[in-house]
Amino acid sequence: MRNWRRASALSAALLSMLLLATGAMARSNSASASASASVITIGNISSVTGQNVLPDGSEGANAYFNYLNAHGGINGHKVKFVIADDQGNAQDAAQAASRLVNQDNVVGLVASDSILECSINTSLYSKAKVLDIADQGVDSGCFDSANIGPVNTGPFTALQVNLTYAVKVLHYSKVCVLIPDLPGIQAGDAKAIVAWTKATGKKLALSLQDLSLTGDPTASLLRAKSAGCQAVASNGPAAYLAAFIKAAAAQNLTKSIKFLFPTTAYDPSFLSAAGSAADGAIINSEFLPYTSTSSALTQAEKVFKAEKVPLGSQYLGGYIGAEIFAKVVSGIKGTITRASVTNAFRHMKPYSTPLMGDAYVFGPGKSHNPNRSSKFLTVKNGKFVQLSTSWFHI
Amino acid sequence: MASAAISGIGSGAAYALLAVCLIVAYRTTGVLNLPAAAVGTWGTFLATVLHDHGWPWIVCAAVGVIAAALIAAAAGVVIARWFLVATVARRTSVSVAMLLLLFALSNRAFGDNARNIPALFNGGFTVAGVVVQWETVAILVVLILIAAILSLVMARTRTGLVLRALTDRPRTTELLGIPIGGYVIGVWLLTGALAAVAMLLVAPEFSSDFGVLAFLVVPAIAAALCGSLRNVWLAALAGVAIGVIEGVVSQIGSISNWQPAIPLIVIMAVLLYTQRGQLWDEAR
Repeated sequence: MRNWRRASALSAALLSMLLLATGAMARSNSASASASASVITIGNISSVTGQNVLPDGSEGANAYFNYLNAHGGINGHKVKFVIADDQGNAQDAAQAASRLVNQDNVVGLVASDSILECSINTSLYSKAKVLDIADQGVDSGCFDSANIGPVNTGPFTALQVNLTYAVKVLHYSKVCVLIPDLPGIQAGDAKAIVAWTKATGKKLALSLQDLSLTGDPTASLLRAKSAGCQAVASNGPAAYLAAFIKAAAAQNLTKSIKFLFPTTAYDPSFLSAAGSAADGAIINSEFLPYTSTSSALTQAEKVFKAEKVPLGSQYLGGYIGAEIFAKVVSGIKGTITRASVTNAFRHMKPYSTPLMGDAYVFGPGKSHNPNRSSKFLTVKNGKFVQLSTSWFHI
Repeated sequence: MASAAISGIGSGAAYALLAVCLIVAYRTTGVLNLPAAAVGTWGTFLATVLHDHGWPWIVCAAVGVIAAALIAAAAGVVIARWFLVATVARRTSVSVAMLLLLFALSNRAFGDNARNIPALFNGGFTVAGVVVQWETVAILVVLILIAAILSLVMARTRTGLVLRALTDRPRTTELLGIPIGGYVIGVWLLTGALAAVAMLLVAPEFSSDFGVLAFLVVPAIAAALCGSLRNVWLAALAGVAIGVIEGVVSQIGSISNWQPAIPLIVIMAVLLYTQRGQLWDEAR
């Protein structure tokens, strides 16, 4: 009996440690704002902890709103930016949305970044007539909802952009796709390939869309070799893409095949994880490349420095989202409410910024994917090097 | 097809090495060491953090092995103190709790960025158009060494005898005046160090994601089960075979998306096969 009690006490202790660690982690960050009637409350749902952590966009937006508050807010209104953590799971994503929409009464959501938030919450947003603006969408739900307007190109359009670049700019005739089987992603990838075939009239020499995210891709890479692929486009998180190109380099394939990756690989962690194997890889940047010396980045660099946020592609996406929100909302005449914000975005004029290749527009559409441009980079001696100064549109 | 089979040897050797680590822990403590790969990954990720600060990789790897050994020893203290004579279900629950704890803490400690895990051995040689990495050869050599040493220690030495007694009759062993707590903690320490060596060799082949690496324990369990959690040689062979089957399956278009399910299919098949006698007895 004594042993059992001890065992129970220990189990309880282990469990509580676990809870502390994972920890009822629905962390709520807020940009400094005084609690007064004039405060504009904005929500954000991101995977701050858990698997598939994506906190960068919310940090970039938070930095922008902090800076904005320190410089007068939006037409004198301070911004309260509430970040809810969905921990990368559906239940937390639904609870976070319900809390933000029903309890915090947010006027809109900005720069959310999660692999499943859109698909889970789109019907709630539709019922509550609230918009998820300048989301950094991952799952297909982000790109086919009337209430969600991503600021990023997203994995599907990025695949189409990369495939188009391979045939139109690099002039390869044997183009292949090797992508991992990611939940919520596969159907969107398939649609992107169909759209690419329709637009270019080309067909893939090999299409493998079910690679294991956790396994060794060598066998699939050998299939690409025997199919005679000249270019291989892939998708997935940076750690996966680094392992993928390392496996390709181990089979001496990086010399004979050109690898094209999405913006997830445009991250220092990809370079350090892939090492010299990454040299020659081609990566699309869905925003103005943060490693470029363009003067258009000066203001963002200043804000990020002041807020001690590193400059990176997804951080920049969050920053752009917050900037778009502030500009559109500053044009609202009268009270800033959920209805007036929704109305303003439904009727907004396209907003141009040098940080994006296309103007951002929400509008009345049933689906949104306004950012369909990229700048291309390659990796040379372990560093990102910009290939083109102009935007590549599809 | 031959090239696909050869390409699977790399991951197969990884599963085999982890399976041998699982069997070491099981034969000596009676616990299915589910957090083995997670402990090894902790050691490996700690090594990468030091490497990012400019330390030489071999020094980082050594520190990683020591750190993993200490983490495992801490788990050993918990097992030795409270769960030595607990039921299998309870010991397995502790094992699951440890795995979840390591997961949660890893997220806080290492974040989600891709990590630079250098290979200890670079380059390789070509067989049937496939480059076999020296790292894979190193894994196979370490695998054979560990399996051989373990077989000898368990069968021929007094320590082996004590450890076998400890698994089957912990209380009786204690009544004979043998300090079983020390033995258990020592064995966990050793399995932690072994797991870290395994993960340091294995990790460069896979995505540098904590979840991906920690769950390499699943195919390892499948391989260990093929050896009935006792026979290291059979388990090692099964590990390599699982890798090879995965390689071949990924080449066959119509079933290629079943590749991640292969370890689970093996686990189910082995469990059904080993339990067939009991089912038959009950039916009678």
